[in-house]
Amino acid sequence: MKKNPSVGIVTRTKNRGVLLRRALESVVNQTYENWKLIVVNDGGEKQIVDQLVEKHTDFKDKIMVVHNVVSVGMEAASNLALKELDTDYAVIHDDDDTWSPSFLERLILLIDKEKEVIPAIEGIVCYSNRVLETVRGNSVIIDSIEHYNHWIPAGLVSLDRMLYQNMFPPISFIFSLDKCRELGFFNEELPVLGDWDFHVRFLLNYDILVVPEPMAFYHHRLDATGALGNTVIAGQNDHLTYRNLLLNKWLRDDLNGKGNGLGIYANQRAHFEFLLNSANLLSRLLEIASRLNRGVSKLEMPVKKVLNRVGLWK
Amino acid sequence: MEIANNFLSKIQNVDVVSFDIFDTLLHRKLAAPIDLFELIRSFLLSKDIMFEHHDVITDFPNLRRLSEKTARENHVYLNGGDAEITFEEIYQVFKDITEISQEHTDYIKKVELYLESLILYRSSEGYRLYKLAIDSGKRIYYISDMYLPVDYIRELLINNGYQVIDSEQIYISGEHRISKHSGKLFDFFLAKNSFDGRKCLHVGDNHYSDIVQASAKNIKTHFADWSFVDNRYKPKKCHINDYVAHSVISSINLPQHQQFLPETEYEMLGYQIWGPLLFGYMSWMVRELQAGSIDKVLFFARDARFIMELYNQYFRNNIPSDYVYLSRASLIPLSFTDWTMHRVWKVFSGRTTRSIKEIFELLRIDISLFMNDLRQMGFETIEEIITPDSYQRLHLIINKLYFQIMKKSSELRKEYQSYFRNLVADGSKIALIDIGWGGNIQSMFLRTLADDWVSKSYFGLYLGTFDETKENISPYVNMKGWLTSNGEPEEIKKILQNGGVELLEFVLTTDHGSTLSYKKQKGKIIPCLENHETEEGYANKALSVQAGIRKFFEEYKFLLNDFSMDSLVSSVWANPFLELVNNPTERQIELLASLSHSDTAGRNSSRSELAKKVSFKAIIMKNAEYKEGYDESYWKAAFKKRNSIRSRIGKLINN
Repeated sequence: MKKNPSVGIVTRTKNRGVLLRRALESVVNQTYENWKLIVVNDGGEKQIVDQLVEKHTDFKDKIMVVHNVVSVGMEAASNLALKELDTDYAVIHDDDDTWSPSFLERLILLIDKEKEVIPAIEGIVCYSNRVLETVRGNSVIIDSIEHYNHWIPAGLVSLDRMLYQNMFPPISFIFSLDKCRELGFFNEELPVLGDWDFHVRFLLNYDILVVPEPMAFYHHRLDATGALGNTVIAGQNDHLTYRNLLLNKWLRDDLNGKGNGLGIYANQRAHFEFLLNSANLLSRLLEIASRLNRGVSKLEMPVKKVLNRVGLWK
Repeated sequence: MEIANNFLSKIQNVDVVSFDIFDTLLHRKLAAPIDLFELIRSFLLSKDIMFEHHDVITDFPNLRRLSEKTARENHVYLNGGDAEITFEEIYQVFKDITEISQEHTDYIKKVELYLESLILYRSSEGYRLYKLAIDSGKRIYYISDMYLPVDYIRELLINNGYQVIDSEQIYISGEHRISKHSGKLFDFFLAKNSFDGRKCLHVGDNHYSDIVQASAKNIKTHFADWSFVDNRYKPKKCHINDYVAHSVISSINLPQHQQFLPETEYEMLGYQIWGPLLFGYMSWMVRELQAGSIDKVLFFARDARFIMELYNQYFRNNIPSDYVYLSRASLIPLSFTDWTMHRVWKVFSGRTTRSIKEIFELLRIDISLFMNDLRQMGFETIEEIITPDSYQRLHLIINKLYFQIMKKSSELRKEYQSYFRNLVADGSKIALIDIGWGGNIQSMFLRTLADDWVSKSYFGLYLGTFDETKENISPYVNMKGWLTSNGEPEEIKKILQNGGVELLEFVLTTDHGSTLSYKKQKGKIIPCLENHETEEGYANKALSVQAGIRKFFEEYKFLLNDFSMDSLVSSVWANPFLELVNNPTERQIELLASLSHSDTAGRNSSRSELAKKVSFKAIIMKNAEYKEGYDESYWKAAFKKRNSIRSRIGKLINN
């Protein structure tokens, strides 16, 4: 195993100086020193980005800025930087997210150690906390923090589970840059869910280790739109649309004989999860009813509703 | 003195004094003589003989009892007379029943003789009478109903300080095939030496054999009332490892064992209650060290200091060990490599009230720089005392400052982590020893180690761990508890949570204050310790209890030296302690209930009583004072007893 492997960090930004300032601090505070950062200013104002980067004079050799005069889109911006990097590992550090100062050190040391036991491991992910915040002018006010995906079992990420839903945000995921290249980088055609698509393709070929320590902070601004909005919040409809777009594409490939079974599996998996959730809901309702001793008749309507949802009530 | 005078007057007109041996001059460190067979099984469980005779050894106590019974029956059937047999005959039957080889039979015989000699000790009372007889110029004889070889018994007597000039002084039933029980051994003894019974006195503990039968031969008698022996076999529903622990614990309360009991009451508590508890925990802990091929042991301050001393003194192995100065307060500011909500709660958990400023000082954050955030949450000053009503708001503020806290934590780790990393430098599989509970200290300690956390393995081995450990356990944080692990079994956890924890922490207190933080001194990182003087009274009592614990270990160290740890592991060692917590005596309450305890990080100066005493009015009315007293008391069973009508009236009458 290579000693002290290098990590390339990619930060995409566009007119979010207030957030980029904090992201840069998150990177320069890392206790692991063998990193380089490429900031891709994807069609945003140039001056504020340069100004914020220049502030970190001690790191001027490690931080590079790429200015796109015209925005190429989120995943294309990532690919631009990833193609530029020559590091062992890479990670996407969105301009609104943050890390614990130990993030890189801990995960790089762990992946190197665990790869010796399970060579298929080519990526590592830690738990994330969700930070809810509000931006007012040039200040960010943190409203609260909550555990985000601590339900994921430690060990290896389940491909099966990933096929139902994206399990972690990019801020928490370090991956082998070589393997990313082999996979053809991120899908530039996707305006959202490019991370889910990448994680699924990654897991189809390699394993990802889960470290059950929340060292990544996934920031959400619930009331923000425009430049300061989150794609998962502001673009909720897009997420649903593109989720089905991917599921349909994978299934179509299978049905046309061009796929590898991913489409059939992923669609059945999604349907199974839906039924499971409905059954859980039903059983919870029955439990509550029995606890309250109100009789099953009171449940008629909610049960009908659930059965109707799953298509079993005619 | 009265007994001695009585004995002296009895021997005034005799020339000869004979003594029974077992349970008169020598006692066993077990509850009953037949418990030796359980001890033999425990000893053999880890030996190679198990591979060939698994079922024989597993059932050894029964087979050994059966062999003796059969040998006696065979002897009577073939020869008539008394059922007196020899050690050899017992093992001949054992060999026949079990069909094991002569070599293995000989080995077990050797083990029995060896263990018998290990558990026997000189009776202080028996020896006192023996000395009086010797000093009065009497001729001494030893008469015993026993199957052991006479030469072996002779050696036992000599090794325990009894003079045996020649083997003619010893009369053993097995050798002569006649017993005291039938009276014939007395006849033989008198005839062989041409003694007149009236000029002899016999001392023994068996009323029929030693008193009735000797008297029938006109021999004067002295009843050895200083021992109690019940050698009936009483089947117990327990694991085979539990028998020895049961027997040792029961033996402590026997009258013959009183000679070992310490003089002061606190030492006595240590000997009878915490001695067995720590003996059990440490046997388990050392078993785990061996099984896990541990190459370094770290004992965490302060609760594991005394455990470390016992480990170094009584456990023979070559695993290097070190003591780590740490506490919740000293580790919290260094531990934020990640951000879990349960660790945030830990920053201000505990019963002691503190101000916002004090809480953030613990995190090394100057909260006065964040007044805006404070005001937003409804706090006016940094001096405001945090109460349960404001916990949620404080939790929110700490969360809001996560970035600053983690950054500070990273800086502090950089500054002080060499202290921790030096401690693990010479190990690769490292055990972390403490009394335990939530696993937070281990979790925080590991976070100070940077790459040493990844490159080495760590295992927490605790006296007990509660459900809370589930928040800390991961593939990178391994721990388990002896008495309760992850809160299972629940009933043990409840006992510990209702006073057991605090009683244990009292006993394990040490001679230095809590670790508050660390500092650099002449290029070295050293701990900053809280002033210890405030706890002096408490500490002195704890030291007395510890002296009692050491005495227990001293008495039973032969088990640690000669037995595999695996065969000693049993939760039965904790029974006296669990009984103390659940059902204390009035005297135990008097000795322990007023002790104080602090459960707040970095605040040993804020302490409250283990079991408060409320007014008589509160007891009658069961009013708010009573309820408050109950809630504030750690040791619930003691609170209820201490504040019961019966206890108070009893005390009034006694006074």
